[in-house]
Amino acid sequence: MSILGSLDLNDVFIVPFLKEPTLSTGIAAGAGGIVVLGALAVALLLTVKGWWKPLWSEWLTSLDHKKIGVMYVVLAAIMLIRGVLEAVVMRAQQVSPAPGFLSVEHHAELFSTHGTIMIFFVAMPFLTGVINVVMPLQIGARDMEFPFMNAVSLWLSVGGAALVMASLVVGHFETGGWTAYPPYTGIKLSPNEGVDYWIWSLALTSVGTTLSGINFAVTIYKQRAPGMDLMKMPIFAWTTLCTAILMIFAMMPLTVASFMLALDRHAGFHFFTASNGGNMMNFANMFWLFGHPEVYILILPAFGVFSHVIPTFSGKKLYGYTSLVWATIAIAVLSFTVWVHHFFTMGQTANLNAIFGIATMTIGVPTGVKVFNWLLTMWRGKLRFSTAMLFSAGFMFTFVIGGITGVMLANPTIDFATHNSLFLVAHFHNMLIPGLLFGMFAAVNYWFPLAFGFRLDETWGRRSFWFWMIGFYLAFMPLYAIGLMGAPRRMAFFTDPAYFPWLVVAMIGALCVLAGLTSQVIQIWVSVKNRESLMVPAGDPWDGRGLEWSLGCPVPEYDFTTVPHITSREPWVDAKAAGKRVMDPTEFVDIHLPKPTGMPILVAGVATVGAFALIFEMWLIAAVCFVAMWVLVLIRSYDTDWEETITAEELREGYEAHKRLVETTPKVSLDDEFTSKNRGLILEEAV
Amino acid sequence: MSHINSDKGMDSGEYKHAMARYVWGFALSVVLTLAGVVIAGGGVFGASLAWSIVGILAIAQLVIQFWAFMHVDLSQDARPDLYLVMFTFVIIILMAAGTVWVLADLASRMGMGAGGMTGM
Amino acid sequence: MSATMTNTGAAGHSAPHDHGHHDKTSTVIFGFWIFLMSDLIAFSLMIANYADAEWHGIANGPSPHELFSLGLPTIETMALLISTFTFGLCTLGMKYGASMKRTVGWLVLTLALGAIFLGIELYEFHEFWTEGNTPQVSGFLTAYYSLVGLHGLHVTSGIIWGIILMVQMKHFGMNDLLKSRLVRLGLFWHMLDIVWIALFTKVYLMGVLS
Ligand code: HEM
Ligand SMILES: [Cu+2]
Repeated sequence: MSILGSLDLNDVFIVPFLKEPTLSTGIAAGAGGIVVLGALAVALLLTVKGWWKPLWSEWLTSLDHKKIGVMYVVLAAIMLIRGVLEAVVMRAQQVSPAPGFLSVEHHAELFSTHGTIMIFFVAMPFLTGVINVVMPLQIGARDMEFPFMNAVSLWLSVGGAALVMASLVVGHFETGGWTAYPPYTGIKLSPNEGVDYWIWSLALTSVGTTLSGINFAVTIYKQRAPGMDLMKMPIFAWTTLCTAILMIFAMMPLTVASFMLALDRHAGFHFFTASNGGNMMNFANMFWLFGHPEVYILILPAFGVFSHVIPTFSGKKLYGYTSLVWATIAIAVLSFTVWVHHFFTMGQTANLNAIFGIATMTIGVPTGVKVFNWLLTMWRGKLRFSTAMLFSAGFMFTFVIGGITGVMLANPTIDFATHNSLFLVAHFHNMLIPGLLFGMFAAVNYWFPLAFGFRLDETWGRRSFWFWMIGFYLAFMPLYAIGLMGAPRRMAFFTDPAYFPWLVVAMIGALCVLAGLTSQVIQIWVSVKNRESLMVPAGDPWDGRGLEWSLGCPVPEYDFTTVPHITSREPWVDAKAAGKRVMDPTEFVDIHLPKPTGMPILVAGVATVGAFALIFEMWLIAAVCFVAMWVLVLIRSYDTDWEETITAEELREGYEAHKRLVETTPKVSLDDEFTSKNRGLILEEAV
Repeated sequence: MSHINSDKGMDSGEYKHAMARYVWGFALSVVLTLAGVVIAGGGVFGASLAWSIVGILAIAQLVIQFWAFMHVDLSQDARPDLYLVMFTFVIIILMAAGTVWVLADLASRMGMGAGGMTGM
Repeated sequence: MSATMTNTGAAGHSAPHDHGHHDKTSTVIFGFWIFLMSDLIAFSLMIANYADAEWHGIANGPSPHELFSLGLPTIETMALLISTFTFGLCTLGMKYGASMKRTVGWLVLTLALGAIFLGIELYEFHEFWTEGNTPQVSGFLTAYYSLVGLHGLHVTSGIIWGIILMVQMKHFGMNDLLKSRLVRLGLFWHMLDIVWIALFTKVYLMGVLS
């Protein structure tokens, strides 16, 4: 075998099309072409504009939690575009006359990449990014506890995503769905590199996620501002903590299961094979030991976001803080006890299924508690429907429907009829689109000024909401219907004419979602163009309640000039009520911030090359990369000069400057919240 | 949480105290290990009783080593570690025992006795 | 969990925000503890898989009863047990101001015992392998080699890590950073012995009983 392992010319994206030009290979070649040309175009743009250097020194090497967070969100956004485009192609395929324009394998690759991307490379980086930007600011910390590790996590996720992108250009992705169950994904039935793409891209990002979990948990545990005991902590920090705990414990089963699959495939082991005493059912078991906590990793941060957006735009304190905290903890713990509901039909005894069915229904209770918390927060509030608030309201309305179908599926007898049907597909999109994407969209619209100093355009924001909301209903309600009529999931085409009208509606829905996504791209574009009139330098553009809004926008590198002392749950609300427009400074002291370093991106880059080598069985290169990665870590361990100092004097100046700015910013009333009069710090008591 | 420096020296009472903990932990571990070997290899007890006894010995040794070597105890200082370990064991029991339970249940429905689907 | 957190919420009070060196050290060690816990999850899943494979995955291969005897594994176990003790003496001395020579001495002894452990393990693998009992034979053998092998890989990386630390001690002297690294390696090592208790009991002791 050559040093290039199993790589050959046929793996290059354009070759299959040249050999056998069909619409299906053409689309594949086109997708590969977009990736290649897109990368070239970006490189060209950076070169022409001379942006390489600032990009490297300001962003790629940064250990600042805000910048790392923003880069995570950018990663999520890029992958979201791909995921949605794939969904549209799948929808188009199913409304075309059978057998459609895609080959069966190509369609299978699409739902596999769509699912994998949406979960691991959209949802996970999105929420990790938002946590990175916001959580330290909410608890009065200056950074994550382990900034270097934070950057390594980021670049490992980017590496994983890069591999999934590479699968468009070199070789193929797998066809076994995002769950990749053996024996189908074993070497006999899936001999090409597809499954290995899945295994190694997930391996990279799972390691990154586990490390992020450790980072978040320790940061919350150790870095809270003095006086902020846990029951004074903002809800978003609470949901982050629970998510972090889930990340720490739940990623391992996936890593273990996927490594075992790799050993089966390449070393002839018998973990999951159908012969020689392998047990493929344990793959499903371990996958969902990860998979169910994973859905709560996805959803808890969004719950945290809503718990801040809703009070802010209702002008009221969050209703039932304590019950919300306990509901969050209950969900986190219970989420480890229900995994079997993903394979009720695998053949266990009825008793076992019944136990897990009941456990599953139990989770509905704390989740229901939360919905009432939010509703009662809105009750008699003075609601202002910003984009963020619209997404939150849309979430509540839609999520409850998904929850109801979830409780239906939790009943094993019903699940036997709906398992593997489009009813299930409708259910989880019904949870994930409102419960994850809407939450993250709300977060971006709400907290954007912290990172960039200006608000996002409301007009396009609201348009994007309506497209997403209507698009969601059109795209997925039909799937409930045909799911109950018997349509299975993962079908390349249907021949039953009764499904056709529903599929047409779903197609329109997908296009509507695409319009929503496009509106968001326009929203960013318009906002950047008009950023002068959207600037909110004084901070706190929405009469906010959390500590993060006591800072100017954009938040300076050091976050806080002095660390606030916390005596209540809403210190910023208290300060404002006392007529203050800045928090009282405590003590100015020298602080240390981590210096930028290229090491994280280097380590992750080498790991990614190594993973690529594993995918194409280039064992030698893989081994070299593995060693090189640890050598880099070793080199870093010799570097003891990793901090730079910001003096107390600079911090005092920063504070004074911010204070002057705030004092000269004219007060505006809430009615002008979405106009260019809002330069930050609007006050409810209009002047 | 572990401290890396003490202001006391190696002739202090504190040092001797700490040392005693290691020695106790080591001695008990040796005894428990050998007891397990004798019981498993000796054939004095029936297989299922011996099985339970070595299981209990292992759990005892686990606790002892956490206490002696990793300093997990009831002191205020070790509280975070203690809760962390306890929480982890809850998760481990859910995951590992859950796995064994589910797989055994599945096997029972497929008529798989010991040895499984030989030669399939 | 939450009770934990509520009780210790005072950490927020006591920890000065701009923590000094000592505080940072204990935080790093706590972070490492969490990492070890997630590693424990991996081992526990491998053990669960082993328990299933040993029961239903024999196929045409040997059963644990036919494969294992207690002689060598007991020696192996003792070597690792002594090594966890000597590592304890190493970090204990370090904390109470023992000379660097003494600390390094205990560390060398520990790593040597670890190497003995590994040697015996590899010898056993070799014996099984040459008898034709490779991991490719059955689900049970797959589980056996992976579970014990995973632990062995951990021991190997512990040894390499220890050697690197000794080199760094030579370069830096015994500063707080290195002390913190040594304490972390110590935790890693103790954890490996704790994991081995479970493996030894499940694989060998219960194996010959089956
Ligand atoms: C944005 C609009 C979206 C549309 C139109 C869409 C559409 C689809 C379609 C058509 C399928 C294949 C269904 C089948 O099996 O026949 C699918 C599968 C799936 N989608 Fe989406 N989706 C969207 C968003 C999302 C999001 C946001 C997530 C997760 C965060 C997600 C996760 C998944 C997963 C996990 C699968 C299963 C893949 C598999 O079968 O392995 N989707 N989606
Ligand atoms: Cu679930």
